[in-house]
Amino acid sequence: MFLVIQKWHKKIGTCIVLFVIFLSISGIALNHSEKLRLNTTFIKMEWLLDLYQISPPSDPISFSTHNNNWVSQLGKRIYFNDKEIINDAKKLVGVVYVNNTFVIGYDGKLMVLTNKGELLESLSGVEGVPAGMKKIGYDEVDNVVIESAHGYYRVNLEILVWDEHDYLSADWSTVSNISEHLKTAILNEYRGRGLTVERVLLDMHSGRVVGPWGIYFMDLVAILFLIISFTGVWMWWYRRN
Amino acid sequence: MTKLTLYIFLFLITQIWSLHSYAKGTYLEPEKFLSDVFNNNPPNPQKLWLKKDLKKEIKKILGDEFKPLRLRYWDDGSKKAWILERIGRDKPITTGYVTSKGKILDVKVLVFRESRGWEVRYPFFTEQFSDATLKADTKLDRKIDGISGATLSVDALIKLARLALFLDKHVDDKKN
Repeated sequence: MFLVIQKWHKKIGTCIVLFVIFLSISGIALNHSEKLRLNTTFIKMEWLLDLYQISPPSDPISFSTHNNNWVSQLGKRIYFNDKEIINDAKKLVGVVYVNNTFVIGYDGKLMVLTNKGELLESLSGVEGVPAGMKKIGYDEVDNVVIESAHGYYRVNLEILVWDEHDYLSADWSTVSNISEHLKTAILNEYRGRGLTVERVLLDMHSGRVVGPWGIYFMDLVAILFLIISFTGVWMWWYRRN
Repeated sequence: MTKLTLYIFLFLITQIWSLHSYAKGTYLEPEKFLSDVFNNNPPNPQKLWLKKDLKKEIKKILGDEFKPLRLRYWDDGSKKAWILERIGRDKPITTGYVTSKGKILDVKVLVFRESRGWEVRYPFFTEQFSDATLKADTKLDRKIDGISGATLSVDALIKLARLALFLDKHVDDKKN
């Protein structure tokens, strides 16, 4: 009996040693994922991105603005040309160029960028941005005009005083067709920031990376850990007595 | 036996419900925060340009780049309100700070989007900031006790508190 258990203890131990090493290292890494920046480091390997089916949900919705600059939405992300500027947006309303700044309207918020694309400021309801934004435009004296669920608003962003009106005409921002070159750049950027090292490591740790059978396989490995733990203790106890 | 099962079931349901209700979400609308701070009459927001030198100092406090070039704050002459955001782990935590003459009067977590670390919303944590001031090295004058499992959220709120006090002083210095 002892010899049989010892034989299987050795066999199982040899088979699972690599898993012990991998699970220990990945476990430690996952425990410190923020410090190791695993949650902000993105995977670029095409085959892994394909395996995770990291692909955009649809084509980008784009608005053109001053000097052939573009603001586009792809999924929950918003891009200024091909640079991601927002990663949790519901609906991009449009973009206008006033007073040498780009003003992007989305989700009841305004993001103001300098003419170099740097973030100037973000404005929300607390600064007076009306809820239920439907359209964004500008008037002849470079005021931002917004059509919202409750009416029309005009604002000079420098002094941030909002005038409410029943109707206002404006040069409204409208959806335009994006060039193929920019579209490809945005799609590549989307894929490139879609999968973190942390997620892959977590899925490798749990076996999920190869689908549902991987989880059962890691369960089996865990059961083998238990078996060699019990057999190890039992052999120690048997020899002692 | 059936009764016991029912009690266990109800207990589990209430626990799951309460856990869900404590998690991420909007705890206090920023508009309501300002309204509370200024007795239903918030002043118009003021503009603060974050020029190169100021950004350098802010970077020292936060440890990384503060992206906006301009910040809005509310000042009624006796106190200032700041609505600041910082990423804890993955998503920004929106926090309201009330400052006056170099002291923190109040801290409120307004919107919490992360899946962990929401305990920073509780008064037992935020009250530690009451009357906190900034030392010459831009650190707080006191130790803020952390919360286990919420280290990054705690860190974000401490850094934003230092930033609010730093900006409060900057605005006061500019006035004088």
